[in-house]
Amino acid sequence: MPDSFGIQEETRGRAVLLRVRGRLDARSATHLLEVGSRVRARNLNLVLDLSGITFMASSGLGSLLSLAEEFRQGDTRVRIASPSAAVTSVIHLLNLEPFLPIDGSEEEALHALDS
Amino acid sequence: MSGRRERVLGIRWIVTLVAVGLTAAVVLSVGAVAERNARRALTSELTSRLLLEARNLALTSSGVLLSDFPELTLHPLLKEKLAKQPELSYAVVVDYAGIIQGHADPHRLGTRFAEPSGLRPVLDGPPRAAGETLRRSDRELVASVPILHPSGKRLGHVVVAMRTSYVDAVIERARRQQSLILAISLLVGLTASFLILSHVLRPVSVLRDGIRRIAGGDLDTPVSIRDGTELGLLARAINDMAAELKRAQAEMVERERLAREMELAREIQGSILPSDRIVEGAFVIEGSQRAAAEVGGDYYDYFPLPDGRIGLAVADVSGKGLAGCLIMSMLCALLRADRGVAGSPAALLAALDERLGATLRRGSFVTMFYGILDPRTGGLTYASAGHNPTLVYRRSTGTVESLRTRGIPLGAIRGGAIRATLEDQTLVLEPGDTLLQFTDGVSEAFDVEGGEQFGHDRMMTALRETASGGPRGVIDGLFERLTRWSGDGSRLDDETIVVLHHDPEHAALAQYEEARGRGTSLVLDGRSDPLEPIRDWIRSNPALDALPAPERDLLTSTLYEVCANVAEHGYGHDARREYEIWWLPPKGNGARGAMERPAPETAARHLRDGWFLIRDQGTPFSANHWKSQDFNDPRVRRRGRGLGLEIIHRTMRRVVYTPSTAAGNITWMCFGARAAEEATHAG
Repeated sequence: MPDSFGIQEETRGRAVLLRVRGRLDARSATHLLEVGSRVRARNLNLVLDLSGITFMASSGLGSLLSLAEEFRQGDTRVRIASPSAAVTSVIHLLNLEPFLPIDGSEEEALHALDS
Repeated sequence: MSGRRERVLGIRWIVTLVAVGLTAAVVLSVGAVAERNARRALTSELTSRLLLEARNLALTSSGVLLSDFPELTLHPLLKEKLAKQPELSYAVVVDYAGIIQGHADPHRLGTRFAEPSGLRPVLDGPPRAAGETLRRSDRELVASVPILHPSGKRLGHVVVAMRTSYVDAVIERARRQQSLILAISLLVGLTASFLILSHVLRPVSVLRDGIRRIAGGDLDTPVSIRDGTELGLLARAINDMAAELKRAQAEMVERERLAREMELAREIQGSILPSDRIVEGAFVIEGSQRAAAEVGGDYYDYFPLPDGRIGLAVADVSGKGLAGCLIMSMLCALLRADRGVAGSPAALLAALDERLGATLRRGSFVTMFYGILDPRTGGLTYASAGHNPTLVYRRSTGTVESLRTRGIPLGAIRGGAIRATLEDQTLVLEPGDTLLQFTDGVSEAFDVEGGEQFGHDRMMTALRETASGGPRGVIDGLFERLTRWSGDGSRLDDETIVVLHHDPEHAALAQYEEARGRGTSLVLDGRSDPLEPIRDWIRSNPALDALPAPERDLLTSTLYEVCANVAEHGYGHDARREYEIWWLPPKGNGARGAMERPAPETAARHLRDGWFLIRDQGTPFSANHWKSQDFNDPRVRRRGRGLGLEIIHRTMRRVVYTPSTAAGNITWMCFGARAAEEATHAG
């Protein structure tokens, strides 16, 4: 998979689906935070499809944690859908599943948010 | 001695030939002289006979010449004489006028006598009277005698000639006779000489054969000679020499066998001892031993324990030789079996005493020091079973402490009495402190004169003076002092030294040196994005590339976080400044890049047994102990920072950061299961 970063946005009901691909490091994490903050400002839930992430640095992980906490404060939620191995390995390593819930697919994540 | 038999000329033959030659020379010389004398005698006799013939004829002719017809008497007389004496060539009677009056040939009668020509006088021969002559030519010997009247008046002369061929024939006959006798004498003499000498010199051959057998390795067959001469004496001496050789040979074989066994024991002993130092955290442990001439029973060892602590043992078996070596081997085996099981050092020593006690002979014992180091805290718990005091150099004060403990040697008293004497002690080694343990081969080494021992005071001084050099400096410095003290001669006892040194910088530099020696590296600058170089580096190293994908991804992430920290915090993203990442596989698994691609599970094991090292010369981090973050705290989650260190410390079971060493900031770490929450930032 190419490392070049990109975010594809799709609104699905009360959630926004962000398909993130490429490398999630210090530079791209800033961009993700900006996009995520805009979603948060609309008071919508966020599903992050991270299946296209080829590499996640600590700053990328930190951006996910930070986003999740920001959404939690506003009664909205963040869920991670079909994360790549690069994402799950780091989340598992630091035992962050309680704070970054993972679903197997976008539909599962959207369904979890609805319920 | 070559296998080929040398061809030599036997002394028997030499002596015999010389004797025979001498005998022949003597006989021939004597024969030659005898022949010459015989020839002379014969010649003299014949000339005398000729002269006598002439005289007799002169005497007979003196009366006949006065008769009227002397020829009538002389002719038949001479004819008959010549017939009876064929050696006479002629006989002539000549009167005073020179006319032949007597001749065997009647035609010569009355003719004038012509003196034969070509005659030369015979100088030797019988004495002659006046007027008598003896002359000779090549063919004849001629005697001339005057015929005298009783009144003395000369009436004529007689000439009688003898054929020299007759003389020569007579002499020749005599010579032949003599030669025959000579030849027979020679033959008999030579044969007798040969037989006698051969018999007399036969023992020489026997001696020669005997010496050949001894040279060929046969020392069991004696030289058998019954001889009362020097040869018999020589034979007995050779037999004695062979017996002595045999005994010496047996002793040499036995000595060589013992030497081989001792050498084997020494090799076994050497193979049991640690081959290299240990670096654990900020601690370096290193030992060394100089063996005595005779294999002994000194032992030392240091090893990681399952819980991350380090065991350290030094022991001295009483007695030398194979017995000491065997006990040392047993001790090593028991220690390796019990070290992970026994609790405290005192408990371990008690357990060893119980096991060894059944095996040690009465009077044999083992002194032993055993300690357990916690490299996280620097604390050492130790106990001693009658061993030497522990010396500790304190950098803060510049002094050396001598720490004694109670405890009797292992095996000294049977039945477990040792338990009441053993006690665990503890000490803490601060940065810069050095601990020294040793065997009494060091402290009790005698000086060159053999009058004074090296002693503890000198050891404490040596430790204080060399501690700054780390374990190697202490070991080399102490051995050098011992060599100066005792000289270069053979040692009576093993000299064993073990040094435990707390020096983060030293440990880090030692690790860096080892990395440079056998590791593979990746060099990055402060600005480069490290991700692709790290991926390429991992791919290029078969041992790392063979990792299962999850481990490989975690390793990539971890190394990336390390590099990102260095580049950002250490170098401020300065492209001009470089840093290095090193990977060292476990020892014994090939030098840099020489490994074949292992199986994934093997690669994972090697990854855990090897270690990584990062060296940079950027701004060092603060020397605070790292602590794991509490993600239950929403503030921590909201901040979303510090996750890089979290990833590093969760991936690496051990992380040691030593800033500002002589080579820069050095971090070394070992990949493994999730480590404890605390790691060490040294310095």
